[in-house]
Amino acid sequence: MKKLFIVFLVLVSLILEISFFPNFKFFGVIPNIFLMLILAFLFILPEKYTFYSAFWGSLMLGLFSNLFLGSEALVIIFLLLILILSHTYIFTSINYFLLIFFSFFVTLFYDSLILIFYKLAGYKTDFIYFLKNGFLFQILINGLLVIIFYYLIGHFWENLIKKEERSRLLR
Amino acid sequence: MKKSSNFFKYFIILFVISGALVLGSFFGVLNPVIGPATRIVSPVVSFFDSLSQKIKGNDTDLNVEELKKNNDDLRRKINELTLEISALKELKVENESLRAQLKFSESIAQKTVAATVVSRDPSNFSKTIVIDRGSKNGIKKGMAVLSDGFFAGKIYDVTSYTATVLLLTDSNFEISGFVQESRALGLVKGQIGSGLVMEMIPQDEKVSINDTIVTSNIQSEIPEGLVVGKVTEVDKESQGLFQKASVVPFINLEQLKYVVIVLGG
Repeated sequence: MKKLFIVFLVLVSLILEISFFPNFKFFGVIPNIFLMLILAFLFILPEKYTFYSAFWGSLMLGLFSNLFLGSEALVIIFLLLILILSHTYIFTSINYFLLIFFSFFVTLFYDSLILIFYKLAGYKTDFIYFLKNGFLFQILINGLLVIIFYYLIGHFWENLIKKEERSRLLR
Repeated sequence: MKKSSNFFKYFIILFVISGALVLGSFFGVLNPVIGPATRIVSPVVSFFDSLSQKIKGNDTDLNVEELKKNNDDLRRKINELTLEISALKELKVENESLRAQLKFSESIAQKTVAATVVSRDPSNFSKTIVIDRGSKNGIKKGMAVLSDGFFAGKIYDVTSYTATVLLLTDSNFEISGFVQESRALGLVKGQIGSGLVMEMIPQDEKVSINDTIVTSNIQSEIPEGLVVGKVTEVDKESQGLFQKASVVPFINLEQLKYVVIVLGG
């Protein structure tokens, strides 16, 4: 049940990011819905599930982007390491303010690292233009998304675990 | 929340696999896998893409009134074009006789293949679309892509069953074109943000607002005369050698659903 729940969330977020949000841009920006889901996962699920969700999901995302397959996975897996280390040694307790800070950090670094991959692939992009025009809206939307995800998924996940424990006890 | 200490194990394994995939993709080793994998996922993604287009109201299937109006407009257009065709037929006869006299070869009709847009690039840095036709359908890198008869972009990447189209408005897009009215040559480029710009137009050439920009045949894969867009602004630099013009495509590239790829003669 837990695995099914995670797979469902990953698939829905990918479908929204690949085929829904490119048609419904917010101020010309596509929100990083999958990335924010992974960020919320990190503070709720065991890291095994977070890493596997990040890996398989970013591979699927990579099938529809211009980058070499695996680029998104490489970036997200690397970001996960930084986040886990900072969560383990610096920001040990999580709150909504910290979530917004993490979403800002992740958005900035994800965009920067993806841009480097674009440059390596010989693609012309202008990060300064993007910073001036779309970045503010992107971090606002991403911040909002991660708070919603953290609250809803956290709530649902707790209930799932309680249910599983109850059925185990009954057995 | 309890965290186990073996996160580093997952990191190392998945980071190494991702790195290997990037290298494999870079050297083209993964091409036989990427094509079929995209093909498997494409129908689902394509379904949700067209569903979101319908929700947004870009799909004309839902609007019967608009369809009726479009039908009337098209009937009127057919009448106008019928008259124009008859005039052109006369010109064709004249042209053929002149060609025969000058021993020109016959122009070759272009073969095309129709495709459906599967998805748009989810990143904020590029303007590309993925279509459901690939090298198995004869598509090659650099081929022209049309929508509603207008030039929409060119093939950027091909797998066996899918292809990526670089849209006109992408900042990496460049093509030689000319102003249909004055035949002035220039370089049409996609701009970061939106729209197009035509640069390198000699200062002495006449360019006016609402002039039509079409492709030239300098690039072999792109046929000459494909309509790119219309001029909205002309910037004549007083001391420069060249002038530039802002160009707007005739079609909304954000709402493409079906495209046609020009395979050549």
